[in-house]
Amino acid sequence: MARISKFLKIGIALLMMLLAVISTNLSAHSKCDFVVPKGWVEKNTRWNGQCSDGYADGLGILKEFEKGKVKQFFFGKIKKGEIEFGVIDQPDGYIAGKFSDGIFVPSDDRQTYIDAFNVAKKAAIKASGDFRKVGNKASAQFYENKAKELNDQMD
Amino acid sequence: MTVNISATVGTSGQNRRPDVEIVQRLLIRNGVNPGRIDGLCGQNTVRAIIDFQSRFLVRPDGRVDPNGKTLKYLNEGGQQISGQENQVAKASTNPIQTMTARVPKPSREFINQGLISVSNAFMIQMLGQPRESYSADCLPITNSILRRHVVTQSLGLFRVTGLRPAVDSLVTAMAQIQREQPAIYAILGTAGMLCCRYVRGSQTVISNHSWGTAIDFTLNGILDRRGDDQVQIGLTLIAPIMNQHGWYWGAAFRTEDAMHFEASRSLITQWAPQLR
Repeated sequence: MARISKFLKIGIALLMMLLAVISTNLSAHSKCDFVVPKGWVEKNTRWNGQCSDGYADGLGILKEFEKGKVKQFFFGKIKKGEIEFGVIDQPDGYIAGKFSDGIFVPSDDRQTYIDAFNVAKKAAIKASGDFRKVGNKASAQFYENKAKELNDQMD
Repeated sequence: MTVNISATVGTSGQNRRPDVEIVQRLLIRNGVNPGRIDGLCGQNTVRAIIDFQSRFLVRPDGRVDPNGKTLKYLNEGGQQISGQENQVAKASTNPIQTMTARVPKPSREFINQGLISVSNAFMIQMLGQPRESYSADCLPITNSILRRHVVTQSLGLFRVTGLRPAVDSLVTAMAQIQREQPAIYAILGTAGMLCCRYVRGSQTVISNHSWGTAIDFTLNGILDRRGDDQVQIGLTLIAPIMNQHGWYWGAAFRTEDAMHFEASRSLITQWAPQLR
């Protein structure tokens, strides 16, 4: 009885160690931290895009939700969790170009705007493709339409 | 007593001082505050018009037309709005906070009066090709005659690069905007002026920005969304000033492009002799 109890304790300990390892690995794979743009609410914001070393990194889309609906988007590039270059699509229009510490860096340079919308378009196209792969046709079409709007903004 | 105005007040309106003052006084009588009674149509007056219109319009447009519905209700003062229109008013939720809030694009008959937009053929005939080849990206003018007239200048809070007479014209227009619409002047920016490239998706049509005679504006860093038939309120207030100086507003394009202003045919015709 004592031997069974001893083996039982060892077994439980091993099981707990195994569960801890699994849990860590799951966290590592699902962790994709990001810093929200200035004025956005962090708990209402989601990232759909590339991740690297625990951070959102690369091309993708940030979405801020309000009352269950998307209030605004960021389409573009994030670097180590911070928005770097692209377009914020918000109710009053677009904010396009470079960002630093979550804040827009104004530019007078037309090529910067053209490049920003090109990057944003690519992010929207990627999202459309990702949704199409998993069979979500409605979302795929939504982002395809967004890609066209972004493409058409600058003459 | 019923009062009338001689011309439109509000977004894209002629905003004659006596008319604006009349509307400002009527707004106060109706319990809406347009700010100072000064005969100047700024953001406070437009916001007040929209607030008043939201009582009976689902999509307030910020305009008071002579003999129009809004003026009729303003004149009626504290009279009750009919039951049906009350239901419409309940559905309206358009609080306006800033000059980047949007309203339906103005009707073509109220904007660009007397102005004609330019075409590629017209520009090439009057000024010549800006360069030999184009791509999807911005390239500089290489036409040696035009290149002599390219300047970079400050327009207040931002700098532009364009053909000298176009930049000079913008300097004058901006001075008027600063006097008459100081709140908008303070938040004006640009998405660029000179940029030689093809129009998106084309391999033959070149952008009107290619001659440095077109400019796109931002307000608070925000670009008006193209093609949705909605325009930022601030743009509707500077458009009449830009029109006065011969600049055609892109809100009237077949695909609405309200951030865009370009030198009209008459301006290009006027400038062409000095650009040869």
